[in-house]
Amino acid sequence: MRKKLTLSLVLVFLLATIFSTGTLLAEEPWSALEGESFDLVVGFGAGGSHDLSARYVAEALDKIGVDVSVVNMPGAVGTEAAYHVASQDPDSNILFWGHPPVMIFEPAARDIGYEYDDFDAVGAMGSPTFAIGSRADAPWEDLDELREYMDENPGEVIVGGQGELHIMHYAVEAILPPDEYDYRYVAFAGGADVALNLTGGHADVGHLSLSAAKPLHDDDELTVMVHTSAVTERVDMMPDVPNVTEFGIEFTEPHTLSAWAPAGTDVETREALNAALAEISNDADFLESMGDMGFVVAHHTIDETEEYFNSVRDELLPLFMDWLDSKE
Amino acid sequence: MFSGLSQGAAIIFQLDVLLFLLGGTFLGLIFGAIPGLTATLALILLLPVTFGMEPAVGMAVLGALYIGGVSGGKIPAILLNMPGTPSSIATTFDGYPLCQQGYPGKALTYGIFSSFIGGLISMIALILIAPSLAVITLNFQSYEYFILGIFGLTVVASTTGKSLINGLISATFGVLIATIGGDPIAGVTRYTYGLRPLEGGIQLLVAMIGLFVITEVFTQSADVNKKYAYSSNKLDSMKLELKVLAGQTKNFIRSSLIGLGLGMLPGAGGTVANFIAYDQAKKASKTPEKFGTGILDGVVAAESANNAVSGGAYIPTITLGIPGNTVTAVILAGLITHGVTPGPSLFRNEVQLVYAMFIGLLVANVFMFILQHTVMIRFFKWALKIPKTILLPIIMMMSIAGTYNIRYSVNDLWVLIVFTAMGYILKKSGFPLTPMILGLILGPIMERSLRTAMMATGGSVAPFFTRPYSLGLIILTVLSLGLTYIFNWIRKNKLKEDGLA
Repeated sequence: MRKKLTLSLVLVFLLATIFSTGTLLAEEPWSALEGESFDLVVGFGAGGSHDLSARYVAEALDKIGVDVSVVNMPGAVGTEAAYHVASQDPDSNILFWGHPPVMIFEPAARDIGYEYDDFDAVGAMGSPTFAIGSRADAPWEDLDELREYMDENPGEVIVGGQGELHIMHYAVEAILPPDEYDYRYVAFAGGADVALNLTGGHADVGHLSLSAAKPLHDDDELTVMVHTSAVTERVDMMPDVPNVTEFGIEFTEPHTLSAWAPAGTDVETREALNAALAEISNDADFLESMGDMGFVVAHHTIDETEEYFNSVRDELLPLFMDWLDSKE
Repeated sequence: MFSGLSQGAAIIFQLDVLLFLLGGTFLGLIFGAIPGLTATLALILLLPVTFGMEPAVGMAVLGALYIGGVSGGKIPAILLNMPGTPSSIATTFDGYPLCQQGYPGKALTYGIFSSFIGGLISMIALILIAPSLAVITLNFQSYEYFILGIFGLTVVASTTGKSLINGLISATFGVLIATIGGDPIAGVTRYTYGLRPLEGGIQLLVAMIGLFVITEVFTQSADVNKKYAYSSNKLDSMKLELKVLAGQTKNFIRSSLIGLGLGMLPGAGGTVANFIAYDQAKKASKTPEKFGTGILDGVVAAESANNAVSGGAYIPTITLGIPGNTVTAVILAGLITHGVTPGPSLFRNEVQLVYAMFIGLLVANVFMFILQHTVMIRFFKWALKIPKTILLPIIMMMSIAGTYNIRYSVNDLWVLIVFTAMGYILKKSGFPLTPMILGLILGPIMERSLRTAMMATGGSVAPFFTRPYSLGLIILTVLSLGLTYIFNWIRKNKLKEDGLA
């Protein structure tokens, strides 16, 4: 009798647990994704800010029961991966972790087999922060002093950036217009290479991510002068560093990262995914991890994401294309 | 430092941690031994597993995967003439001939021991003088990288076999192939002819698998008279002889220092270290003509160097927060995900973690030796008994799967087919394949660094000759080439005098 009672109690407890969990899941806006798994394709190698941010997103989504695996597909500055996702069927549960340079600027600048319209937005999650730094022993302390120094010493300063004829190169010239300031621009292999050359004193000024610059700044190996974030005035990671707009420069960098699905992906799936992204944008661990690498988390709905990327396409892209034309 | 070492040792020398390191090393060895599966992939897959571990333990496990991954490449290189990773290509030059002559045990044993010594020397340097060595990393700029590329190309002469002209053609072809896809500065696509698979350029690993692994599968398949890849089903002695080891002392040290030095140059070293060490061992040898025929010196040089790269790659990673290669980029990511900020202050702020990583590397290096020499050797014996009709299709299948796994791209499979066909035709036509891979590795390094240097100087080449490191490398390149010809000339004359030539 006692055994039967115990068994009945256990059974009731189990059923109650199962049903309550089921009810809870059913109530969540992302419950439609139950049993589904998604690939989040990153266009860069493991270890960089794209990869890490995607992994943090996947980890946080896993905590709320959404199965997302990060797949690295590096090549051609992220466009290989974008092309791969753009050419998949809409119902193949594949997402691309993309920012405006790969989504908008690269396909506009050359024929790379896909266009911005080949994707449907799932949801932007915020932006990594970029910065302008200078070598530690430079005779200037801030952007104004650098510009004064350039005026007084034309052609002397070496400015290191990431690539040539790319939006990163455009960013440097938007902050330091070459028709106003005489300096030499050197295209390095990436942020780590810029950091290495600034630390080694081979470049005087450099454009790199705040997360790459911070440890070297903290150790007086280089000095971060300004950040170029479009989403915040001050970054929690380095609150003393001013935004470039504080120096009268209107340009900020469009690096907002978003998940994208192949065009034609049904809106219910995208909305469910967006709701899950909204949920993790309040997860304290997720926010801390992203903040530690200078990523400003700002969840966007599907409409907000499209609005933001469309504004980049409509406002900044024509300026970038004019700039490219001027370089020919 | 000693306090740090003792704190690090306290973390590592616990039963569960040691078991994790053993498992990590073993898994790394498996990944390294299968063409297409790399140490980087092993680290990416295992990174989430380390999240649940204490940061120091997690980082040590990633280090163990790295050590195993680099070392595992020698196994197929020696037994089957198929390098598991680009860093073990030079191991095939003498490792495979030794195996075919009936000494697979000897080649493997001394290869394993060389890996151990290379790892040990670089790790000792990492522990004792990493911050001082980081100064060299910081002083290497585009000028030095370009000259380093030129220096690397001088290796072509050592890897061409009979015809230097064929070697140079092959190397030039490699450099040209490296220009396919986006250019390294502006990303402008070149020589793609509208073909989508070429947009992203040629992946080194895909080219290596096509040229060296699948080409070899077809070459061995064509030899229908041999039932097994290795004619005997027994392994020779696997004992290490003190006399032989003593004779290799200079080779161990020279090759390990080359690996260490190249490993700490971000983006340059790892894949070329084994070639350069092999070349220098040949140039320093009294019997350079025996290189390529199955001489132990060749295996020792290549294996000491490629494992010494691992310690070198950790130097900029730990001291500056700048990854030395793709593997250390994942380790850096691991540090960040564990809430540790990499950079110059790491040595001050995270003493326990840093030294636990170092001790972990040393322990993994010991495990690598023990696992390969005592456990995996039994598997090698078994593998050699598999008929070619079974073994070669398995290798082919794993290589294709590995190629796809590199970045989940079907396009890479098309590239693989083209490189296999090209490799087979060139091999049958007497063109050496190693110079082509050297061209593929060094071409992008040279192009990028030359263009960056020209941008920085406004077109002047003067800094190549006025910068001490650059000038030093130029002198080294000239000496390396010049002395070889002088010594060869003296040797030939001596042989003539002795009436032997």
